Amino acid sequence: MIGARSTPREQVAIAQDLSSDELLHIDSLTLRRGKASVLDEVSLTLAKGRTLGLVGESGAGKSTLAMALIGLLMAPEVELSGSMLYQGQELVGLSDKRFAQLRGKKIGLIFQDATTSLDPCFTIGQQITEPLRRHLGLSRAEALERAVELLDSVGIPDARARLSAYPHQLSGGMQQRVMISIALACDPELLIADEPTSALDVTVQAQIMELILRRVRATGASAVIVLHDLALTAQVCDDVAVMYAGQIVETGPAHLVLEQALHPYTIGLRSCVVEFDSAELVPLPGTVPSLSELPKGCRFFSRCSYALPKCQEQRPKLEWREGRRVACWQLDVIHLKDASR
Amino acid sequence: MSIFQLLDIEKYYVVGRTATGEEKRLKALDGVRLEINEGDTVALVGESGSGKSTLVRLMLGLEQPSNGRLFFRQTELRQLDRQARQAFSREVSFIYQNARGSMNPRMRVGDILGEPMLLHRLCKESEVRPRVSALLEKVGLSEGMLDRFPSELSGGQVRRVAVARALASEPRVIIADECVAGLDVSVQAQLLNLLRTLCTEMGLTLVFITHDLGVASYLCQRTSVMYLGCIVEQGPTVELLTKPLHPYTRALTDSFPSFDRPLNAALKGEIPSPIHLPQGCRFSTRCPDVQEACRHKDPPLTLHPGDNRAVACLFPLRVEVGVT
Repeated sequence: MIGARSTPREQVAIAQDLSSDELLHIDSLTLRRGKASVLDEVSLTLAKGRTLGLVGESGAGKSTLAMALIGLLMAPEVELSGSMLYQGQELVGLSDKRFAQLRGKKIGLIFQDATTSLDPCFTIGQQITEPLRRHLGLSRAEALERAVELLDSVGIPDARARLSAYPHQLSGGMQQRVMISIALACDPELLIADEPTSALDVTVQAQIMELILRRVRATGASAVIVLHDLALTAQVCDDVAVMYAGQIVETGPAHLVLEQALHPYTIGLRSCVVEFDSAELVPLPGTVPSLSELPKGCRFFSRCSYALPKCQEQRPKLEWREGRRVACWQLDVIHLKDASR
Repeated sequence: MSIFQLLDIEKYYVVGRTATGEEKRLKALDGVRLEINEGDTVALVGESGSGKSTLVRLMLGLEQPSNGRLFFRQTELRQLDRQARQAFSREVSFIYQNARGSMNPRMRVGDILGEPMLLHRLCKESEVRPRVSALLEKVGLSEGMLDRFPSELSGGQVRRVAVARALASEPRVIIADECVAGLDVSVQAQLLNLLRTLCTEMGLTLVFITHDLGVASYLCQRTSVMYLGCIVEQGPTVELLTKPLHPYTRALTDSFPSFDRPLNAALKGEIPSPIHLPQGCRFSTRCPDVQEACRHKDPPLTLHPGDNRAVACLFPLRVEVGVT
């Protein structure tokens, strides 16, 4: 429940719940691109049927994590270490060929910009039937029938007629719907969406998000959604992982983390959100540090108003605290300040 | 004092001909009435395709209205002579949606900011450099930026330079088209605070196009909600957002992400084509409260009795009388 702080017993319950029905288990995932440490010991668990939001500023590693999950970032381009278990299968080091069997079938993808993600030279029908024929082995006619159902289910009017349309003949919202129908074509167990609505109007954004949630819930799939809007994240995600400079700094139930943030970075992000009644915004000072010249201790050190000398020297680890995991040395001080408010 | 006065502005584009040889018209603006006074901060909100950007292009004199009259300080914009036209372009600055794309990639920041000063003869050539430095400081950038090219700046920096360039000609009016969209919340918050401070300190008039209602409420005292080329509701921003009178405004506020409400796709479908405008009320095809009369009568924007709000709806939503 929103507002309630969970007891240690509940924390154990959450932890057990996650381990019993785990779809994805990421452990100490580290990704380096040359000198830059783009992801640093990222550990996450995603249970079946849960929706996880990844939030943070540009350069936090949200999209990189999403791309690594689907094998679009691999050696030798980047150095990848740690482990990503997908239903017990290790994804780190998996060959491109094996990944290709997962992508589009077990794992569906929705990219940020539908305009550039759909192929301008092929019709909508050709693009939707491709995964159906390739992964499910449907005949051309069967695949076309299924494509009509899919387009219909994502709210595209006059679906049959749209099969012969090219992407440029559709609006941005309609293109995004087409991409969602492609992502969902083979009923994936995991859906990965990278800012699926950031180019759309709020009205269409709400429709698309509702559509994604409805479809994910109907099939019992899990989803990892990269978002930059914190309020939207609270609305659509069960859990959230707040990322900063390649690390997870706070993760747990979305409402809890975003509304009663403990990490100074989450608190800072939250105070940047404009609402109808915002009196004064308090922007986070400074910018994300360069990923090739990171401090030894806490990566948020230079922008943190709670920082201690210790923070500069030693890196905080994620620890359980009030129903979520958070990496910060100064939690007691923040907690005291919070209590005195 | 009135700065802009728009009287029943229409703008249409001919996009082809029908089989019978009649012109096929795309109605981008369909009778917009708007008055902007000195010191006003006005937000134009609405979905893509509602005509916000077209309206602003007309106000900048980049295009001429098809019908209606557009006054700038009591003179019709199209009748300004050469000298007055130059004064207009000094007084009214524009911040483009695509900040990076609006800058010459081969010019350094110092030259980008100095050009308007020289063009409008605001100072001697020797004074440009210190003035540009002062301007950079004002928008929170260091002097070290002077010799950079736009491509060497981050997304937030490039937007700050765009704001600085808009200020370089010492304008009285700033018109901005989605100039904080697509930024990280942290950078957006910095930029919003900057714009707010500048407007208050310099007493600027601001016309701000945005699709983000939060941004509108933070920067602008008044808001006009547009739908398919018309203003469907206008009034003080906070009042309008918290107690909408038009079902379209309510749909926008309901769709706006919030920590306090669950996700709500308040509107179905997308904005109809401005080539084939709906019969009757233009919002009738998507309105959740539509009634039979709405399909026949196009309601004009009328003042709502009791307060300074106007709404174009046959059956405006009820708000408690006497509460402001």
